[in-house]
Formats: sequence, C-alpha cells, structure tokens
Amino acid sequence: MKRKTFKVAGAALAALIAGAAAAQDVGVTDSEILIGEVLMLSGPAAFIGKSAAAGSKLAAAEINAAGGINGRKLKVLYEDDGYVPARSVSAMRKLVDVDKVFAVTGTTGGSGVTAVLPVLDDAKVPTIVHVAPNPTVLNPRRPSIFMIGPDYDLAAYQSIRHAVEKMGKKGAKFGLIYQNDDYGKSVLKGYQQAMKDFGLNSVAELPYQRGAKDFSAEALRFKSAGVEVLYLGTVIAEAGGILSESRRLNAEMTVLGNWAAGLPATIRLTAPSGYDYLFNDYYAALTDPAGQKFVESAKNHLSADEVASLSRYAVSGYVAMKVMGEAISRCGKAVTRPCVIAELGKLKDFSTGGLSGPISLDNPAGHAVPALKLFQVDTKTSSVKALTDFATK
Amino acid sequence: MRSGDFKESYGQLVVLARNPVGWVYAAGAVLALSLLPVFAGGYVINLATMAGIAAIGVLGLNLLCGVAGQLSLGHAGFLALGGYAQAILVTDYGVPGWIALPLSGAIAAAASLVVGIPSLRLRGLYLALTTLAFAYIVRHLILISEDITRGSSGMPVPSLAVAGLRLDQQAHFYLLVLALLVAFTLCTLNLMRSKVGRAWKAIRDHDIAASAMGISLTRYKLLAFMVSAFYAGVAGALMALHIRYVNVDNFSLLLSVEALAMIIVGGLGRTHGAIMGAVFLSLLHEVIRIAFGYGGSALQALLTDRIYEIKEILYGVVILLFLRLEPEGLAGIWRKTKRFWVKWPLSQ
Repeated sequence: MKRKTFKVAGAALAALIAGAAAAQDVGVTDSEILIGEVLMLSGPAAFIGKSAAAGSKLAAAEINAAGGINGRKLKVLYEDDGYVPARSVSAMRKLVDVDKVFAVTGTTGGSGVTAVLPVLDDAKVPTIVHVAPNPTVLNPRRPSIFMIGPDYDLAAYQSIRHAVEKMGKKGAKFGLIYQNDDYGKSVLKGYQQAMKDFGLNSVAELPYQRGAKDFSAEALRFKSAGVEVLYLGTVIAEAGGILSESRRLNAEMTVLGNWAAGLPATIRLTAPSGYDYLFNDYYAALTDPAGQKFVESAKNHLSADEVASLSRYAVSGYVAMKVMGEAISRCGKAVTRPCVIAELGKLKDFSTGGLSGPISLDNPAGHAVPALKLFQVDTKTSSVKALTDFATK
Repeated sequence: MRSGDFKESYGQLVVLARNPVGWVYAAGAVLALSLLPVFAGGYVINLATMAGIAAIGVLGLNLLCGVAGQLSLGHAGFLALGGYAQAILVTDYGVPGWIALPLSGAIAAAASLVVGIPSLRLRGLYLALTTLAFAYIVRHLILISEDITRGSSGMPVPSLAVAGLRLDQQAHFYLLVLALLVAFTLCTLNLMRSKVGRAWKAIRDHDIAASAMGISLTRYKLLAFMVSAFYAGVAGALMALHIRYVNVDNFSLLLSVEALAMIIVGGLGRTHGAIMGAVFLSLLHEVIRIAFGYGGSALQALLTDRIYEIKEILYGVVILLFLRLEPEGLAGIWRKTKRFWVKWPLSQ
C-alpha cells in the first residue's frame, strides 16, 4: 500500500516537473524572460534606434521594478545593425539562434525590417514591429508577427480632413511634396484619396529624390501654382529645405505633415522659416501630461544620455515592450511562444496611460492602428502643443 | 645538389600547387568547412555564408583591380543587378532559381560593358568616378523602373530549389555558397595562369608596353570588366537569396568601398588574399563584438550608448593599422609566416 502511494506520488511529481518544463519556452527561466531587439544604434538613423532602445529599456525597468511578470524579470538584449540590412539579418539570427531570446520587440528600420522577417517567421518568435511600420510586414501574414502603427496614407488623409473641416480650407489650393520611395508613395496615396473624397483642388504634387538638398525649384513651383495648403511628405532635412526656400519667396501657406515633421531635429531645422505647421502622430508628445510623466520615469530608471535621446521613438519602444509584457503576463506561469502569440492576437483596447490611443491587435492582420493626435509647432519656442486628443477620425 | 627552388619547365612555373601536400591542405580545409553545419549553430553558419558570398564578389573585384589594374567603385551596381535579376527572373518569368543564378551573373557581365567601354580611355581616379557613376545610374534605374523592380518597395526573393530540394535551410544554402566559392576560386586561379591572366597583369603593369607586345587593350579590359561583373552578379544573386529580399538599400555604395578595402587588406592581386580579406572584414564586426563582450557589463555600462560608435571607430582603426603596418595585406603576413616556418631556426 505504502509502495503504491509512493509510486503514485512519484508519478505525480514527475508529471508536475514535466509539466513545468513544458510550460516554459526557449528564453524563459524561472526567474527571467529574455527579449531581443535589433535596432540601428549606429549609422545614419542612430538617433531613432537609440531612442527606441531607451523606451523599451524604460518599460522593462518599470515592469521589473514592479516585481516582474508573474515573478520573472525581463532582460532585454540589444543588437546594433548600423542600418545595414545584411547586418540586420545577422544580428537577428544571433538573438534567435545564439542568445535564444523568447520574443522580439525591436526590428530595426528601412529595408532591414523586411529582411529580418523570415528569420522570425521560421523560428515562430512572438514579434512586435513598431519602429518602421510598413505594409510589407503584414503581407503575407506571418502568424507570430504583429505591428503597431498606421501607414502614412492615413496620417495624410486625417490632417487634410482637419484642414478642410476645422480650418475652412475647402476652397484652398493644395500642394504636396513627397519623397520618391515607398514612404512618399504612401503619403501620395492618402493625399490623393483626401483630394478625391473632399473634392479638393490639388495644383502641384512634386516628388523629390531621397538625399536631395536643393528645393528652390519645388518652392518656386508651389509659389507660382499659388499653393495655399502644403503637405510635407518629407523626412527631416528636406522639410527644413522646402520651408526655408518657401519663406525666401514669401509664400504664405498653411503647412501640414506627419510625425516625421514633429521630430525635434525637424523642428530645429524648420523653426527659422517661421511656419507654425501642423502634424499628427499616434504617440503623445513628450510635453503632453502623459509624456511628462514618461520623462520623469525615465529620469529615475535611465542614464542621462538615454534621457537625452528620448523622442516619439522612445514612446514607441516603450509601448511595444508594454504590449509584449501584457501578452506574456496573460499566459500566467506557463509562458510559451504559442500562448503569447495567441494572447497578442486577442489584445483589445490595451491602455498605454495616455501615451497613445488604445492598442488593439485582435484583427486578422495583427495590426494595431492607434488613433492619431494633431499637434502644432510653435517656431518661436521650437515647441509643440496638442490641438486635439487621440481621435480615429 | 639543388640549392634553391628551380623551375625546369613552363608547366612547373604555372602549376596551381607546387606539391600534392598543397592539394591535401586545400581539400582538408574544404572538408572542414563543409562539416561546419554539423558542429555550428545557425548564427555561425549565417556568418560563414555571408563571408563566403563576400569572398565570391571580392574574387571578381580582385581580378579587375588587383590583376588587371582597373579601379572600380561601381561593384555595388553589379551586385544590385545580380540581386534584382535573380528576384525578377524567378518571380516574374518563372525561371528556375538555379538557372537564374548564372543568368544573373551574365546580366551583370553584359551591363559591365557600359563602364567597360569608357574604361578604354580612362585610368585611375577618372575610371573610379566613371564606375561610381554607373552604380548611381543602376540605383536610380531600379527606383524608376517600378513596373519591373517594384521601385523602392523592393521585392521578396523565392528560395532556391535544386532537383526538387528546397535550399531554404541555412545549412543547405551555406554548402551551396561554399561549393560556388571553391568553383570560383579554381576558376580564378586558372584564369591567373592563363594567357588572359598574363595579359591582364601586363596591362596593369604598363598598358602601352602591353599594347606594343600585341595585347589588345580593348579586348582584355572589357573582358576584365565582364568577368569581374559576372562574379559580382552571382554574389548579388546569392545575397538576395540569403536575405530573401532585395531592395536598393541592400546595395549601398558603401559596399563598393568595403569590397575595395577587402582586396587591399587581403593583398592586392592575390587570390588567397582576396578570400582572406573578405573573410577578415566580414567577421571583424563580430570579433569586435566578442572582444567587447569580454569587457563585461561594467564596460558596457561605462560606455552606455556610445559603445556602438566606438565599435565602428575600432573597425576603421583596425583597417588603418593594417594598411599602415602591413601594406602587403593578409597575403603578405601569410607569406612571411610560411617563410618563417620553413626557414626556422634560421628565420629572421
């Protein structure tokens, strides 16, 4: 009888141990969950990568300070790709094959994003793409990969709608300058859709080559066409170039843009032109109440260098890590990749504490399209102020 | 009694390996490399694959710059042509991947005539700028020809299938790259000892004298560009197959400069130097990363986010030191090491 009891107890214990072993996946121990990020921490886009890394680091520090996720601390490994796609693949393979991370919340930018997707898809790693959201990430649909962030066409469409409905620009002459690449074409798509839907008059749609420095010809075209509302489908330096040339020609315009126009570097370059332009973003500005709270927390958890690197991309990294943390926590003690992927796919109206609109990934595309918020740049103080709250329309 | 290393026939002078031991070493090295997937994980195989692809492209550039003396900064353009040819032929025209691979090289070789013809009248810096302009033209042609190339969006590249076996597993693809590297190396060594190779060296050393000796500058310069571009085209196609996606950003102009650095660090004009240079610079980032890893978290914390710039600076410093202290490159170090070993204990 005793022997039988021992046998049953032994079998139960073995089953329990086996269950515990099965209930945690690669990159998960009893005390730690390993998350990986490949970002452009050096090279031409380093300011974006460093900012995004600071944001995710802050989110992980906050989660760990609160006791971790069901008793497990988050450990984040960062790999630099220098914004070179071949190195992006190498770095991602290192994280997945050598470091054996459980999940990935940083997938670099530019064409590096597309380059690393097969690595993540093959290993079925729960992944959140947030730095450079673009349609190729979700087409074809890869079950373990999710994306946060709308495409640029929606941003263009909504800010033009605001100009028409709230600023009385229905009868104005519209113009667009856009970069001749997939980013610019996405902007063009949203702009043309707005022109069509609201019956607007577009008098100039001018592409420019990436890396262009001289915008005098474009500014002259806009001036001669009598453009009254200009939409910037530019990145950083180009916005400064086109607006300073327009100011030199004394062109009076209402200027609109997307979050690229709201970056501190862009504002510094555009401030001398004196155009108090509008831009929209799906993340709060650091000067918003939620943004200020975010900065305060960063001062407690990050180095001075990291605090200095904060921007909207830090908010982006922070939100992605929080979303991943939420999905992991919903799996309880049994943290496995299939479980986290399933939980990410069920995520609905996840609150980020005012840093963005609610995040929902519970759609067939696995794509969160947070609401956009409109801001205006004050060129005199080089600051931004919010004009609206996060709104889906 | 023989008191030196004498050659008694022309055949002996141009032999690939002076004795069978050389072949044994080479075969052993290839065998060891082919067994890498058995021992190494995916990350190491990935690094080895990238180094192998770089070596194929650099072998071609070495034939053009190191052997024929024609400076080129346009190899990123040939790589891009090869990569896009592979993607377009397979995706849009249904060409089997293994046929598209040499075709990609052939397309790059045909395109090389665009820079090859001006090279007949240009030298040095002027030629370098012409080839650089070619790379720009290729880049913008890709961006403009949206209907064919998908413009700036880039396009996915289907993985290779040979005899029904899909080479989408890292180990399989690595073995393919290794096999191609061996084939291209043998091809290069044979070219170097042929009439063509000797003509290229003659043009490099003194083109007027070479012309006076009856070497057709037109023919051999164009041939150098075409052969080199073929290598680069195949390397570009392999890059596309490896990353599984092509975009103009994958073929930045910096690649041309890096490839030149590889042949200079390896040893200009030396086949084994080109391979060593390609492998060395391909793995240098990794070596620096490992070195920093030994510094521990204290070093990482000390440098915080500046660590990445420091790594890039170190990368540059290593190349600079190399060029300053060993102008003959890795091939020179290899030669000196061999001589030291053979002459020991009388080595100096």
